[in-house]
Order: sequence, then structure tokens, then C-alpha cells
Amino acid sequence: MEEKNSQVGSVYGFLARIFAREVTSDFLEDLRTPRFRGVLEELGVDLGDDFYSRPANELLEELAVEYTGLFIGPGSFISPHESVHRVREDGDYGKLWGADTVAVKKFIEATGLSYQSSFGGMPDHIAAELEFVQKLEERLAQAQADDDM
Amino acid sequence: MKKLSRRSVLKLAAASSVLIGAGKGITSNVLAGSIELADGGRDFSPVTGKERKGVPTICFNCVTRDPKIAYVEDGRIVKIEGQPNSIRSLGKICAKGQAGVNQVYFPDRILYPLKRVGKRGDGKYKRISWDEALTDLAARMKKLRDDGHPEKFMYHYGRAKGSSSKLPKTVFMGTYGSKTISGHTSICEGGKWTAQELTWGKHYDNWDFDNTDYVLNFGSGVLEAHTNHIPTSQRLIKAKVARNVPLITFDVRLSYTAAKSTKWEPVRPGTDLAVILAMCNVIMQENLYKRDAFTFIRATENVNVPVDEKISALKKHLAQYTPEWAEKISGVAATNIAKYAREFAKAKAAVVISYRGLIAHYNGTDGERAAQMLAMITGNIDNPGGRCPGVAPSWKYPKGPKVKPKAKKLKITNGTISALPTHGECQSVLKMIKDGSHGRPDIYFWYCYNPVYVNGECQENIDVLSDEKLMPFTVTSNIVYDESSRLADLILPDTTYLERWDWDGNVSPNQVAEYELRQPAVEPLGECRNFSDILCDLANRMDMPLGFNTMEEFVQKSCEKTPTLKDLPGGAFEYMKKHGVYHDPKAKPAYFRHKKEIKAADLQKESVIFDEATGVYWNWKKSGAKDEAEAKKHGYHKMHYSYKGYVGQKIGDKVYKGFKPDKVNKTGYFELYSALLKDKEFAPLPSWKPIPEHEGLAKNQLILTTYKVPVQIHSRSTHCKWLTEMFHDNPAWINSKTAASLGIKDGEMIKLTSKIGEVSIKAYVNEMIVPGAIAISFHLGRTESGRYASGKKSIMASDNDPDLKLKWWDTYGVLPNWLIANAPDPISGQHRFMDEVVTISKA
Repeated sequence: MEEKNSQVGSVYGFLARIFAREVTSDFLEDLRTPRFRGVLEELGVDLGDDFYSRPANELLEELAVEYTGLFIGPGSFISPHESVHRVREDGDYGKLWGADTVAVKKFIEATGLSYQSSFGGMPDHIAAELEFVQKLEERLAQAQADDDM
Repeated sequence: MKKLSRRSVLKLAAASSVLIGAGKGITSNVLAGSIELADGGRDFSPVTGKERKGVPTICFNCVTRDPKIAYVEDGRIVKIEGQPNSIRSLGKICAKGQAGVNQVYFPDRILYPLKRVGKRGDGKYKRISWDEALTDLAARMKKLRDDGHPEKFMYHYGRAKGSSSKLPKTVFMGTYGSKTISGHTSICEGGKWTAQELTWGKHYDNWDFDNTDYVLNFGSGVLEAHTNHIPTSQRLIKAKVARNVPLITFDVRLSYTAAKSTKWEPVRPGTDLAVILAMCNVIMQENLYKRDAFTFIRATENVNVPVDEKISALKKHLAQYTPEWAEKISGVAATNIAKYAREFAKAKAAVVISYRGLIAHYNGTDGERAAQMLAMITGNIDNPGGRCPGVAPSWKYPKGPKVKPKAKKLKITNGTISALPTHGECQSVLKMIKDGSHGRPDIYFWYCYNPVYVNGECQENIDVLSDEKLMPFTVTSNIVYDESSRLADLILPDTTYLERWDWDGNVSPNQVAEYELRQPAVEPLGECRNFSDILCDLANRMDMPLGFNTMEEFVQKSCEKTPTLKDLPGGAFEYMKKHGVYHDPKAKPAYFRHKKEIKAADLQKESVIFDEATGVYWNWKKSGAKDEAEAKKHGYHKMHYSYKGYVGQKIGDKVYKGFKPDKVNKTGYFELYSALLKDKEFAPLPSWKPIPEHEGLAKNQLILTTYKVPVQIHSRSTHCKWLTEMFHDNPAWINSKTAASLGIKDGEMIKLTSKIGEVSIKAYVNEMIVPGAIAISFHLGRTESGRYASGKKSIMASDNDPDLKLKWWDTYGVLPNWLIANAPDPISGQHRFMDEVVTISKA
């Protein structure tokens, strides 16, 4: 159980990293290892030979542009923040730093965690929420290891 | 994308773990720090996500009174949790505490003042206004007082503690002028208290499980139902699990506590005393006692004898109680008795614990005195890890008018048989009223108490309370229409503990006092009013103002008067409202208090005199003596209240604080030898006393034992649906050998007959009870208290609880009190809950 829980946490950690910011050279190096390529292929994710063979600096530049276009703008983009998307009965949604942002921030901070000042997103950024679940899974694994359930 | 399989997700997880583990790829991006588990103290609605209002308060479902937090949503209490800042409970509460929500909202609750209109007991009532109710009651009380007979107003309380004890009993009754007051301690633990008062002075003991290395348990269900349950039980479990501390439980039945013990020693009912005496004997004969402890022990008539003489006197007295002798009486193997005695004496710190299994017997006071002896001779008194006099908060409170009338009293609260009923004999009150030789109250007012149901001899209780000649006017303040409320002429709807104010605080398990505040989590339902608030109102109506008009005001003034609290930041009352609990962070656990020497200046104060016979220094002015000459003539031992003036005990050439008396004129020694008992013609040293009714029983005669379960309170919880859903039937436990010899099968209906009454009950045949005994729990067999408790709708009940449709049980159990005589332990007056002999037959 212990191992499985911490491993589930790793999946959330991985996804959090994907959404948190542009791919860095270190991260790209890890993603391009044969082991990870195998895992992704098993999941049906084929990134194409190009991804594994192109010069890293070129690829990083291209991925950075794509990340910006997807999550930051300009033009049509997908805001990675909960308060923009989640419909609330009280109508307080569809905007940045909305009611859900406050709720998420309060909830996460109530557990003893804090936001890193280097992080530029809002508190309800999907990366923050995924990372929060990662930390919950890790805490659960620790409690199980300590026989403290 | 392919459908995700469990295997492929795990592969991804493993690969991701590698990235995290390498520390270069996936590091924390957003969040810093780690998740800290909060101790509690905040709560959120799972539906709206909104934070709920948390009101710090104190439980009152049992006398433990755990600090807790009531969470309120839209004006309704939705949940109760423990108070994480309490040093007593450490944030934990039990099932009963959580079910406090049900106390407020059960559908059969009384919500309006009711006045009887039919024959008493017919259940015909009229709703009246508070003004009409209190005008009537005040006029009746005023007349009694103005006619010179305030004692004909009797106040009888059940569970009343902290300010809800002091305001009614001391301030209101003192100002009114009646001392016709009875509590309920003798049906609980009165014998234990008397025994402790006779030995070390204080009435309540704490068991220092945090520091102990060995536990001997005589008849306490500490893990399931104790007067300090959650604070002590969690520490005992911790000692056992974390430090492997042995716990040996002597009990008639395999209680939950016995089941969790290192060893369950089945013992025949009423024979624990023999086992303890034999253990003390082993310890004395094998010289395993702590010699130092004898400095503070009294073991002989003469208080001035040297230690060696005390030791030899005790050895001589105990020599008759061999383990082999005790085995014949108790059924516990002699080898085990000797083994436990040695282990107990040799442990670095050991604690002997005890409750009703030991004390609710004919020989209960001596049982508890013997337990005290076992602790003291091994040096396990008021030491880390031993048995310590309880430490509780010291509240100051407004006492009411300075000039009070000299109170009068009807002598109906102590029975007629018991020698030293220091906590009354409540089970005899209705019998005394029936007898009439000592007068009868014109008004009988009971509060948080159910005299018909909780005492023995239920039928006689009903007969007396129903008789308008014996009981001209009956009043109760209650939340529930129970077996006694139905015999009240006036029913005043009380608030639950979650709707009222109190200062409070029970004994601390760690020897550091904790101050606790109860405050309303919600407004009272309907027209309910707090009992103490209506006493303030009654006092004003009788032109005897108390100096405050509500319990809230009384509590506020008490906070401001109490030295430990008065300088708290923001003001004592505001601090306590915000935090609920307070303890002095600099306070050190109190141990070895008897070894403190008294300053010479304190002995030279005016009116402090020395009593040669006992070696006690005492202030005669506090003893009730007219003058010093009278005090000296009678001496410390014989003046009525000389214990109130106790200053110190001379031992050798020093004067010590010693074991200060509280209710009786004992010396400052730890009195194994009690001159007070000798005066009353009882054995001065703890001695074996067989229970007369248990001698020579026929094959079909069994000894009835009673017990409590973890999810019900003695008599105040069956209307709580969450609790009664868990426990609503109580078949009688019988040992399989006993059952076989009588031809009784498991599940069969049996008839039990005592000299008092008869009940039919289902047999539960098992191996978890000693042969020759039969066990029936308390709590059940309700004939009132609403639909969850009895299946019967109370008068003026509502149907506003959707769970009524989900109630699935239709068994309500049996009450053993119909069989049990209201008989006292001849020393303390303790109700003999565990002694009744019943004849068994098939129903």
C-alpha cells in the first residue's frame, strides 16, 4: 500500500510539473530517456521520433512557445485556473482570482503548505492543485509507513 | 490514446518516482513546506465548503466533562469534536460526546413549561407560561420560608457539577435557608469517596498512567465507562501499547477493559477485598513494602509508635489473609495472587485502580481502604506513576448575600443505617419520606435526576412519588419526559448543556489543573430555560436577590474572581469564551504533597492548638467549638468540624502537611488504622467481611451484578438515537456451566426474582462471566424518555426528526433496578448495586 500510494503521488507530481511551467532542459532529458519513452508508448502516447532526436535547444524553444500559446496567450488560450472554469451556483466564477481561488488557497494553506514566491500562477492553478494531491498522497504513504492511521 | 490499464499507470508512477527521486526533474514547483496534520479545531461543511462556527464548550454527557468544540451551521449544531488544546482530553471525545447533538434535537424533548391537570401520573398536562409557572412555585416556596419551614423545600440533584452545582446548592439554597439537599453520589461511587476520606482525606483519586509501570484493576471499567473516562483511558492504552505496561483486571465479567487487559482474573462477586488483603499480606511477610512510606502511615491506635511497630502491627493483622485463603473465597489462584503482589511491589511505579466492582458491595468501603493500603505500603501514593489525590481547578465564585439565614434540614438524606455517609444515601430518600419519622418535604424539586429509574426498588419509588399525601408538590427541571417527570406536578423545560453557561473542570490525569468553560453553542430550543437561570428568577420573586441574574453573569464574575484566570489577556471571561480551556503553562505536576513541612509561623498563629492524642495542629476556631477550652476538652478527634481547622501533623520532631482531612476528623497520617471506624464499632484496619446474603446460596440463586457499556450514559442517553441504535438490548449474562446446571439455553427467556421484585429477560449464555453470577447492564428498560428509548411518544413531542422513519429497533431492554433493594454499605451508605441475590427460573 505504502509504495503504491507514494507512486500515485508521483503521477500527480509528474502532471503538476507538466502544467507548472515550460519544459526545461533537465526535464526534457528525463522525458527522452528510453524508460520514459517506453512508459509513454505503453500508455499510447507517441511523441514521434522527432521528439527524441531533435536538438534539445530547438525543441525547448518550440515547446516554450506552445506552452505560452496554450496557457498564457495572446488570443485564445486555456486558463489553467479553477475559478475561470468551474461553474458555481452563486455565479461567482469565470474570472481570475474568484471565489474558488480564495477557497483553494485557504484550503491548501490550512494544511500547513505555502505557495512558493517564484510561482507566477494563481493559487488555484491546476499545477498547484495537482501538486497538492501529490503531497496528500505522500502524506498518506508516510502515515501508513508510520502505522499512524 | 489507449485505455489506461492499472499496470501502465503503475509503470508511469514508477517512472515518475525515478524522476522525483533523482531530484533533478520533478521537484516542487508551486508549494513549499509539508502537510501538517492539524489537531482539529476547525470544520467545514462538506456541502457548501463554508467554515462552520466552532464554539468551544465542555461535554456533559457524562461526568468526565471533556472539553470540546460544537460546530454550528445556520444556527444548528451539526457536529461535535474534541478540544485539541485540552491537557486533559488531548482533543479526544467518545461516542457519547459526539452524540451530544442528539441531546438538543431529539424529537421527544420537552420545550414548554407544563402543569399537571389530571391525576398525578396520568400524563395530562397543560402548557403554561413561564410567568405562571414561576409565580406559582415562588409563592409556594415563599410561604414555606415565611412560615419558618424552608427545610420543607427539598432539592434533589443528579448530575450537577461546577457552577451548576454551586449556584443551586450553595448560593440559592443557602440564601433560601434549606439544607434538605441530596445528591446522587451514593448510587455512583460514594463508598469509594468515603474510604478515601478515611485514609488520605481527599475524595477523588487520579491514576498516573503516563508514568506507571504496572496496573492492578479491581472492578473498574476504565476503558469503557469511568468518571474521567477519555483522559484516563487513552493514557492507559498508551502505557500498555507504547511501553508494554501490564494491566491485570479483576472483574466478575469480561468487560471491554478486561478484554483489553494483559490478564483477566475472573473473581467472584464481592470478594476482591479478600484478594487485596492477601496481596498486602504477601508484600508484608516477604518484606517487599517500602519502609519509608510507614513514616506517614497510621497502623495502630497510638499515633506515636515507631515505624517498626507499625510494620509489625500490620504484619500481624494481615497474617490471617493468606493467598490460599483468598483463593477459596474469590476463586483467584493463590499462586497468581502472590505473583501479582510481588510484581506490583517490585515495579518502579505501580498503580492500583478500582471502581464499582470493588465498592458497590456490603464490604465496599473496606475494599477501597484495602486498595489504598496496597498502594501506600508499596510507596505508590502521590508519586509519579501511582495513585494520587486528584488535582482540579480552584474556582472562586460569588457566594450570594453576605447575611444568610441559619439553614434548616430534614434528616432524610443520610438513611438511618450507615455510619459515615459522607456523601449521603440518596437511594434511601424516598423510603425516608415514606417512613415520615424525620418529616417530609412539601415541595420536592429534582434536577437532572430520575429518582424512579436510577435507584433500586423502582416500584416503591413510583408509589412514593405518586402519593400526593406523602409528596404534596413535585417539580422537575428536565429536558426529557422520563419515568420521574411523569410524576411531576410542574415540569420546567431545561436547556441542554449545549445551550448553557458553566464554569467547570474535572480532575486532571497529569496532576496539573485545567480550567474549563461551557458556553451555549446555540440558543435554547422552544421556551427552554436553564435551571440556574430560573433559580435566579425565583430568588428575585422571593425578594432574596443573589447578586446576579443569570448563570452567564455568575460565570463571568467567577472568571474575574478566580486568581489563576483574572489576569489573562483580554480579560478572564473573554479569554475563556475564546479558548474554552486554560492551564498555567508554568504549573508543575503535583506529587508528594504530604511531605511538605509546615512553617513554624503557621503553627504559632492565634487559635492554632496542638492535640497531644493525635499529634494534629488545628485551628479550633474553624471547628465549631465555642471557645478554646471546649476545643481542648473534646480534643481534635471529637469536635464536630475540627477537620476544617486542620493545619499539620507532627511526626517525630517535624510537622508535615500530611494527608489533610476533608470530610472527617482523621489525623494527617495515611490512616490504615481508623479510630473513627473503631468508634463506630467497625474493624479499624481493613479486614475481610463476607457478604451475609451471599452465604449458602441454593443452586438456582445467583448474584446479580450490573455494569455500563461504552455507548450509553447511566440514565440520560437512551433518547439519543445514535447511541440507542448501537445499544438497545441487554440480555442477562450467565456462565455456560451455570446455565447448563439449570437447563437454561442461550436466548431463552428467564424469570429473575429477588426479595424486591421480578423481571423477565433473555439469557445470554457465555464463558465471559464467573459461574454463580448473572449480569445485567444499566441504561435500558425505559418506560418513557421518548420513541428512541422506549418506543413511546412523549407528551407534546414533535415529529420533526426524519430519522424516526429509519428507526429499526423494537427492543428496549430490561432495567435491573426493579430487582435491587435500596440497601446501603453499612459504613458509607453506598448503594449495594452488585450484591442482590436473585432466584432464576424459566419464564
